[in-house]
Amino acid sequence: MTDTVIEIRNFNAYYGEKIAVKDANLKIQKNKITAIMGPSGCGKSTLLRSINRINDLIPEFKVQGEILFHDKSIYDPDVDVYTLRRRIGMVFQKPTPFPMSIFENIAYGLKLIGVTDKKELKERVRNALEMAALWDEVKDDLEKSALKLSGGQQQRLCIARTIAIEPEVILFDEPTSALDPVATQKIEALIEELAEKFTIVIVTHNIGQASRISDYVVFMYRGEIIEQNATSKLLTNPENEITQQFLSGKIG
Amino acid sequence: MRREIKDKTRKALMAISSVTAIAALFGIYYYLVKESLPAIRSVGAELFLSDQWYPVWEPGEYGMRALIINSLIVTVLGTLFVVPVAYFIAIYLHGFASKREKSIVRRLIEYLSGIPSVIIAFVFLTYVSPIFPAIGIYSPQNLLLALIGLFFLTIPISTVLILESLDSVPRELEEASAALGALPLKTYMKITTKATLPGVMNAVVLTANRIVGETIVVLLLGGGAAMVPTKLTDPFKTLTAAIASEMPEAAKFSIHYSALFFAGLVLVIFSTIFELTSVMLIRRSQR
Amino acid sequence: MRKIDKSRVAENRKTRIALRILTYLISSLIVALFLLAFVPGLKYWSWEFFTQFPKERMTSGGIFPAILGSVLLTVTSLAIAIPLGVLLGIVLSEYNLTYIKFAVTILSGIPSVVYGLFGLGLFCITMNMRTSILAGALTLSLMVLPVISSSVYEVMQAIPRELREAAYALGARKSEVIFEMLVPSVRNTILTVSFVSAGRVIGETAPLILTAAVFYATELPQSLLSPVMTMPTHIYFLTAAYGSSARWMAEGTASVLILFVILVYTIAFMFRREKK
Repeated sequence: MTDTVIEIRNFNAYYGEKIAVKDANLKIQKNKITAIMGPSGCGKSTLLRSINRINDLIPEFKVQGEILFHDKSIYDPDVDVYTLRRRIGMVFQKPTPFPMSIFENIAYGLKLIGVTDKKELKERVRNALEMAALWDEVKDDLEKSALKLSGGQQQRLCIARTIAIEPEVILFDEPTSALDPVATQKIEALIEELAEKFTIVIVTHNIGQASRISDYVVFMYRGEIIEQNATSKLLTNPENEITQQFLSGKIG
Repeated sequence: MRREIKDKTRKALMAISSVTAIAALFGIYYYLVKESLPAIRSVGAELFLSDQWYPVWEPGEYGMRALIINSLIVTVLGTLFVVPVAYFIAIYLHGFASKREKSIVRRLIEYLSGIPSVIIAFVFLTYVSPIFPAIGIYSPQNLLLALIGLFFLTIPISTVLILESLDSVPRELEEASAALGALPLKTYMKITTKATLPGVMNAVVLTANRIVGETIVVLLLGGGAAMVPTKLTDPFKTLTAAIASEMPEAAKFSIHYSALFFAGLVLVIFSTIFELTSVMLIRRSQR
Repeated sequence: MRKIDKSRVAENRKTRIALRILTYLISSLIVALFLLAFVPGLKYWSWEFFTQFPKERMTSGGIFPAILGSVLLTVTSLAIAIPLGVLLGIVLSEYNLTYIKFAVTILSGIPSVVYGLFGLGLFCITMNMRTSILAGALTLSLMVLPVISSSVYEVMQAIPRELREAAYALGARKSEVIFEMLVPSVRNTILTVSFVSAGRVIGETAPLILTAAVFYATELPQSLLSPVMTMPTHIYFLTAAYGSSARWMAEGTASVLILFVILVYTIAFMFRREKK
C-alpha cells in the first residue's frame, strides 16, 4: 500500500505578476521516486522549490492553493519553516559545497539540529558519507577543503550533507545536469538506493533519466501539469498529445 | 599618415600617465626620506624611542614615540568600534532589508562618504565637545570624541565594502544552507561571511588605513597633547595631527621641519603595509 | 510537523527587528549629522555672505574668496587629474603591467596629509611655487589620480572581450580600439568618477593647509601662483584659531560646502544610474 506524504492541491505560484505554476494537483508517495519532467521554463523547478519553501527567499514570490505535508498545509502561519526544511531536504543543480572542510560541511547540518557530542558527530558524518557512496574516496582526508573535490564528488557531498540530518523527503533539482556522464551514472545509482529510506522527488529535463530511475513521472508544460502516471505507463503510452510531442523530441 | 600620428600621440599620452604614477610613488618615498634625513642624522633613534615631543623648545626634543603609539591606538580602537557595527548593518542590508530599504540606506551612506572630514569634526566639536566639561570631564577634546567622529567618517567605506563582499557570494550557497533548515542570520554569518572572508578582512584593513591617515578629525577632536592617553577622556595627538598643525609654523629646513617629514615617512610605511595586506587579501579572494 | 515549533520563526523575527533598529539608529544619526552641518548656517546666508570678504576679524562680511578659491582649486585639479586618470585607467586595463597596478594601489592608500608634505616639498619649495593654487592643484590631482584610474580600470575590465575582438577583426589598431570604441562606451563612468572626485577635492583640508591655503587673503588670487582661501580650510582656521566669535562664519561656510558636496554627488549618482 502506498501512502501519500505530500499532496499538492490547486497550487499556483507567481513571480510578481508572472504565473509560473498553474493549478497543480499532485500526490507524492512514500519511498518512491517521483520525477517532474518537462522542457526549460515549464515551472518544474518552481514547483519543487515550493515544497520546501525555499522560494520564500525570493522577494516577489507568491502562492495560492495548498501543499500538504502529512496532511498539514506547509504555508500555514504557525508552521516553523526551518523545521520543515529539515524534514524535507534539497539537493541543487549546481554542487554547493560550503567553504569548509569535508567534515565541517556535514557537521554543519548536524550542529544545526543540536548534535554537539564529538563522537556522535564523527559517527553520523561517517554514516552520511557512506550512504552517499563517498566515504571510501575521502575517508583519509576529511579535513581537506570541500572545494577541492571534483564536481561529482561535491554533489555527493551535498547529498551526504542532506541525508545526515535524516529528512523524510529529499528534493533533487536537476542534480546531474552540471555533471559528466560517469558522475551522473553514479548519482542516479545513489538516488535509487536512497529511495529505500527516503521519499524522493526529482526534477529533470532528461527523459532518459526519468525512465531510468523514477517510479512515477509528472509531465509539466508551460506551468501546468499535463499528465502524470506510473513511469512505465506514461513513457510508453502517453495519453496527452503534448506529452507525446515532448517524448518524441518535437518540443523541449 | 594621420592615423600614425594619432596612434603615436595616444601611446605617448598613455606612457606619460604611467610614468606619472610610478614617478609619484617613487617621488613621495624619495622626498620623505630626503627631507627626514636631517632629523634622522641629528636626532637618531630618539625619534621613535623617546616620547618627549617638544619641538619648539630650545633645544628642541623630537621624540615621537607617543605620536606613533597614538596613531596606532586610534587606528585599532577606531577599527574595533566601526567594523562590527558596519558588519551588522551590512548583514541587515544584505539579507533582511527590502529592496527599497537597502537602496535608501545605501544612498544615505554614500552621501555620508562625501562629507568633508572638516565638517564632521566641526559638528562634533560644536555640539558634542561641550558635553564633556558639563559632566565634569576635564578635556573637551579627547580620544573618545575623536573616536566618535572617526566612527561616522569610516562607517561608509566599512559598510559598503562589507556589503559588496556579502552580495558577491552566489545565492546557491545561501540557499543550500537554508535548505538544511538554518536560520538566515546563521547562514549569513557562518556561510556567506566565510565564503567572502578575504573581502571582509579587506574591508577591515582599508578601514584601518583610512583611520591612520585621517588628519582633521583627530586634530580638531583629539585635543593637542603629544602624550599617550591613559583613558578615553584624555586628549592626544597623532602623527597626522602633528604634521598638519605644526608644519605651517615650522621653520623651513629646521630639525622640526625634518622631523615632521619623518612622521610622514612613518605614516607612508604604515599605509603601504596596509595596502600590501589588502592586495594579498584580494588575490586570495580571487582564487 | 508534529511538533509545531514557533520559536525559530520568532527568533528570526527578533533578529530582523534588532538589526533593523541598529540600521535605523545609525541612519538617523547620519541624517542628524547632515542637518546639524547644514541647517544652523543657513541663517547666515545673504548676498553679503556670498560676495564679500571676511571683515573685522571674522565677525562680519562674507566668504566669497573661500568659495572662489575652492572652485578654482577644484577645477584646476580635475583638469589635470581627469585626463591623466583616464589614461592611467586605460593603461591598467589594456596593458597588463602588474607593477603599475601595484604602484597605483599603494598610492591610493597614502594619507592625504602625506600628499600635502610631498606637495610642499616638491612643488612649493623645490619648484618654487610657494603657497599657490598650482601647488595645491598638482598635489590634489595626484591624490585623486588613483581613484579615477581605478574606477576607469574596473569599468573597462567589465567590457566583454568580444567587443574588442570584433573591433580588431575590422582592422583597428589597439590605440584605436581603445580610444574610439572603449573609452566612449564608458563615458558615464568617467563622468561619475569625475564628480565624485570633485566632491572629494572640494572637501580636502590637510594637503591644502600645507600647499595652497592661507588663513586670510587680502585680495583675490591673481594667478595660479597666488595663494587662496578655500571653504574647508576656512572652517578649519576659524575653528582652530578663532573662538566662538567666528563660529557663525564657520557654520555658514559649512552649509555652503555641504550644499556643494551634495550637489556634486547627486550629479555623480545621476550619471551612475544612466550607465548601461
